[in-house]
Amino acid sequence: MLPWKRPAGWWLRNPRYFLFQMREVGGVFAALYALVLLWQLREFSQGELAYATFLAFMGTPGMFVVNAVMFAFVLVHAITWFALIGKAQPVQLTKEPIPWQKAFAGNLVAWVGISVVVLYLIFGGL
Amino acid sequence: MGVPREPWNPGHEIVRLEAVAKEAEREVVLEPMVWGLFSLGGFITAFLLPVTIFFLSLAVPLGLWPAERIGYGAFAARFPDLLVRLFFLVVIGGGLFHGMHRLRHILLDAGLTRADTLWAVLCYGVAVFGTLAAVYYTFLEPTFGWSLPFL
Repeated sequence: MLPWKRPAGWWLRNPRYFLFQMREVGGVFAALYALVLLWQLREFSQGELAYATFLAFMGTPGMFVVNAVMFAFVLVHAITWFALIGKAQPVQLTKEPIPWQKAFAGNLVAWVGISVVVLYLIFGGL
Repeated sequence: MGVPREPWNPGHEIVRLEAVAKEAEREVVLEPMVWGLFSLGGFITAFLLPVTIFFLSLAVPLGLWPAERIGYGAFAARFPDLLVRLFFLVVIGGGLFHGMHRLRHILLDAGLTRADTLWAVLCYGVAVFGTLAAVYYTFLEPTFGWSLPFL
């Protein structure tokens, strides 16, 4: 058994690998936004004034840019995640594995559906 | 010519099998678990986070929603709903376990492999404590009215 070790900086040598790493950064942004949500819950628990201060800070132009960048990275991360599900583990409900394009399309449809359900059940509709 | 030559194997290092077996034994519990949580968190993040960021952080500045839609009153009206609290817990926990695992591997890919134990402790520590804090703020704090002194 000869375990393969990637040389340091392997992802800088090929634009594709670099794009892969940029895609993965989207996952870290997901964690950052999770911390923002946690902070939001914390400020909410402190009462109306603390929550208003939080919203005022999140409403500054700088934080809007930060949020927009996080959104863009998370969006790319989500869409590429839907695309890789059918590739990393081909869905085998039928005799032949379902082609990844179909799994991707199915995921996108499910994503739109789930997003609409979340909008109405969690955020109170449009 | 009695000694067998090493096969030409670019990118591979010859590693002592006993050492590999020992390391594999140590990693066999934690690694599959964190990769599993990473994958689960990836699903949660991909399906639930874009809509969350868009409506909680972008809809108001973009002028699509009036400011009171994300104000204290709107939040207080929806938060008692068990489903809403569960949603926040799942999104926070999933995002943290997905992203913090990814962050550890980005640090390793950057070549900082010697400090892996430190990265693992820091990253999974943030994920575990963040998720526990989310449990607190979603299901315990609204019941008892306390707040965590350190967060």
